Amino acid sequence: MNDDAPSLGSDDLEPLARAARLPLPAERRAAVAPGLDFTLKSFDAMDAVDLGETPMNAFDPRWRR
Amino acid sequence: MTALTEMSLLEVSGRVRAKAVSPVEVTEACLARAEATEPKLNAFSNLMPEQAMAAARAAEAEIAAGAWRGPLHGIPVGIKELYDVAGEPTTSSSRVRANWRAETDSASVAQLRAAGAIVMGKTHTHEFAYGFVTPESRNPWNPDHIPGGSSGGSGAAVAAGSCYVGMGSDTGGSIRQPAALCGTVGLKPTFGRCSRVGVTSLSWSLDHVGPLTRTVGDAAVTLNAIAGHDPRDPGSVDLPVEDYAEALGRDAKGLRIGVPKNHFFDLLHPEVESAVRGAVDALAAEGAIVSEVEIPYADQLMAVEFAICLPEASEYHRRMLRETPELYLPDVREVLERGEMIPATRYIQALRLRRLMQKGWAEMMRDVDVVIAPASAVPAPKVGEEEVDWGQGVVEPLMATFARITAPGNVLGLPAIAMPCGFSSEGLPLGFQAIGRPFEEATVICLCDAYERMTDWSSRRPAL
Repeated sequence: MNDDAPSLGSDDLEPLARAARLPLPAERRAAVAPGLDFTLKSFDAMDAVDLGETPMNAFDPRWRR
Repeated sequence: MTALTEMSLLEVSGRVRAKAVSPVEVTEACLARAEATEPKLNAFSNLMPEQAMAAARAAEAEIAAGAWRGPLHGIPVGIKELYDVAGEPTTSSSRVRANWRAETDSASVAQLRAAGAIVMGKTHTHEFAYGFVTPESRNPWNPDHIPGGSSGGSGAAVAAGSCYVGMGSDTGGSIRQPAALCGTVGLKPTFGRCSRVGVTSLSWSLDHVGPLTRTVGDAAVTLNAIAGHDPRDPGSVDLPVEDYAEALGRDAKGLRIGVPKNHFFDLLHPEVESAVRGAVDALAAEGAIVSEVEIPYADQLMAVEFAICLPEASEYHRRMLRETPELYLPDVREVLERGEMIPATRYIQALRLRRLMQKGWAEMMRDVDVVIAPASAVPAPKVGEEEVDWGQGVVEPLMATFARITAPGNVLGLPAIAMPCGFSSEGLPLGFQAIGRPFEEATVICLCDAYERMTDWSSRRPAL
């Protein structure tokens, strides 16, 4: 958990929800903000690993049913 | 004489095969047991007595004619509400899917029926399998406590003796955690070993299907029925399937067990730690070789699990969340809305990190056959508890307490069995999980079966 990262408040969620095309009224933004803030800070742990040239999953071009 | 509903699947199956008991008697006993225990447990979302009895009569006739199909023939099973069962609702225990009715069987249900199993009903899940509680159901060992989740209905039904197999799904631990909390065996196969076709998705990259049963042998014969390649499932892997029953009855001598020195034992209820280490000691006394292992990228495990699960789940629910948000439970709606706002770059970062973790675990497991760890950090919490207070100011959300123990198995896609290894001073089950190498289910089954035969934990039944 990165406690030094800037916290997200419910007002910050307004542009995020708009970008996601998700109707999120003020009471929902207030309900979601603490969890989203916690989640995004927890993701900062991934930055400690240098991924170098590690690729993401490969697409499989074979045709399947 | 032991009641039919207190026996294991293999015990009952032996009697069915010998025609000492008929599938009709077995199914009647299970339905009666469910009727007696459901007022306390509410494990089933949909009991199907007429269909079950019709299938039981058909099985009885087949077996009488000498056409015994195998260990599952005439055996009642419960199916998690997430799975499609032809002609029945698949509500995922949600009002959002109240009118959703399956036209065909999910792959696992079709495979179980082909093996002769009797579908006696559907079991509750945490809404859309998105949680570790299963709010509708209760724990058979103490109904003031949760059965865990999301396959909590299956765990409760199997532990109560209402069916011999409860099918579950596991995206962050939802087979192994309810198994641990309800005192049953829970088998999560390798990612790709069993088809997920017809099972409502939580996260395509992390979802697994598998059984909860009373014994390891019961899980092995169930896996025999449901394992195999299915080209309709993009995650399915085309590799030969073993006869997992052949792994039963062996000893643990020479098996190499890795015990993590980080992550899994960092924050545990003392009775859980004592029971899990006691199980390792018991296996060592039988000739297993124990060494310590260091879990690689442990600090990133939870971030990878949730950076994959949240966006995938929110994408699956994208349309429903916009059309009927008010129909979701508050906790599920909140986490779905949260998942809409995860940057795509975080999702891809997690996928790349997952590959590094896979390499790290392959290296770590070069010298061990299985890793043994707790299956839950705590015994079953009381209904309504949302946090664990570890003392000294450390308070942890319940979801994190459960996920950090089981989700590594999903991130790595490795086969894992949760199984009973003791009881708390309050009489609640405790469990360990054994994690194997990819597609080496047989090794995990061998070890857990050997341990099971050293103890009587799996033969204890709750006093309901």
